[in-house]
Amino acid sequence: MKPVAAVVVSVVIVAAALSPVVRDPHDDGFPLSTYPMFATPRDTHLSISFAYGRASDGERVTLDSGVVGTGEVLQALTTIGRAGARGRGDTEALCKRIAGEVSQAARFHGVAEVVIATGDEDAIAYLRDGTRGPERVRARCKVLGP
Amino acid sequence: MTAVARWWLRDDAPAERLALLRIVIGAWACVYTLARVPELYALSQHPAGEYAPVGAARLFASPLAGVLAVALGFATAALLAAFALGVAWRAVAPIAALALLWMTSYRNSWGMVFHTEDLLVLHVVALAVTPAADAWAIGARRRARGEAGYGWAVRLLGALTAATYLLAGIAKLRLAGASWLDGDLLRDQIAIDNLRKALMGDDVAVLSGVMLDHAWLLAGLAAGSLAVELGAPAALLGGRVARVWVAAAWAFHLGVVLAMNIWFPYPLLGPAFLPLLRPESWPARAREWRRGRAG
Repeated sequence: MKPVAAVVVSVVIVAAALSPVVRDPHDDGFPLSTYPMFATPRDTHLSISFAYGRASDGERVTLDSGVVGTGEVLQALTTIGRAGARGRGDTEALCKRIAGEVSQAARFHGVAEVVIATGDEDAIAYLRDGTRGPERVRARCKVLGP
Repeated sequence: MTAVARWWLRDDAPAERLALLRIVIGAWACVYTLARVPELYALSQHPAGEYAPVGAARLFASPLAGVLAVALGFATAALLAAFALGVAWRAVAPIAALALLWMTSYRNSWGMVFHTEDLLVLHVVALAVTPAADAWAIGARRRARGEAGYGWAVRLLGALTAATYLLAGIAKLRLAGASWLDGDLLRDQIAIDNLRKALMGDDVAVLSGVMLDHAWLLAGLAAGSLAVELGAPAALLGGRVARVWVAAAWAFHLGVVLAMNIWFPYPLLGPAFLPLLRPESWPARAREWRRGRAG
């Protein structure tokens, strides 16, 4: 490669990589990110929608992101939150989908019901001593056999 | 030619260093893609309303059928294997880079942007336009060394590594300003992230509870992380400065694991930092070291 071409290629690629600096910092993108995720101030009192299970004896069972169809916690929570924003019908449909996955997952053997709830949590209090905030149930659905 | 351009074009890297970067980064991308194939299928089963395309995935207004997503995932992995091996470089490399860009964009189009993938994609795209298959490539005769040599290409990859950290540091200054340094914002991020993990059955980070109770520790970590990020361009100077920065950046990622259980495997296992080091010299140095010990 000629030196001039090498310089031009380098300038174009480095300029593209640095271009997020001229965007709104909240305007994230891929793969040219503004990296807002850890820099944005956030309130530790938050309303968050999530799913959990109940065994037939009523015991609460923590589910995982795999039954929401992803390996990532944040993606799973986004999926649940978006379903809630779209309304009751979408939340119930998601609840049934999760219940279907739970019925197929040996690690959740004994889970009889899936609940989608929105909790008002204080993240710091929860992490310090496990204090939970009030919850509102959005949808419930039975886990049918595999 | 300006002094900056002369510095950029310094012919200080052998073809083997760039080839090694192609092999390591290409192989990483190939394995990473293969590991994502089941998820591509699972995501395609989600309702179409959850699809919010980003980047190259905007080419498709609606999600792909699961079988097609899987087929494209395997095709991308095959292209990246050829990329790592240096097969038919000028034809295969750009196609493999575009395929990886599509695959990762598609995965990022379901409600969450995975920042762990940014640098890998940038490295593969940049490698695709460099003479990275002039050595250690299957089926390729050793080509005549180009006038520009290989140093610029290695520096380009190092600059991309530095750019991603620099942008993360600038984001903290733009969004939080000086308040980032008191550690409260970092504490809040740690608390929120671990709450999410606890709610959805993931492991809470081992040091998260300890950190919440030690403001001085959080302030130190906040200042340290900002120094690593804003100081990233210094690593382009090479030598000891680069090695010190790489060690600091690696420690920063280890801290993220301990505080938030967020894993950035590409830097934690090393490929992200290789362009800033001289990996092709390590076997010879290891042999010298062993001889020295034996003698």
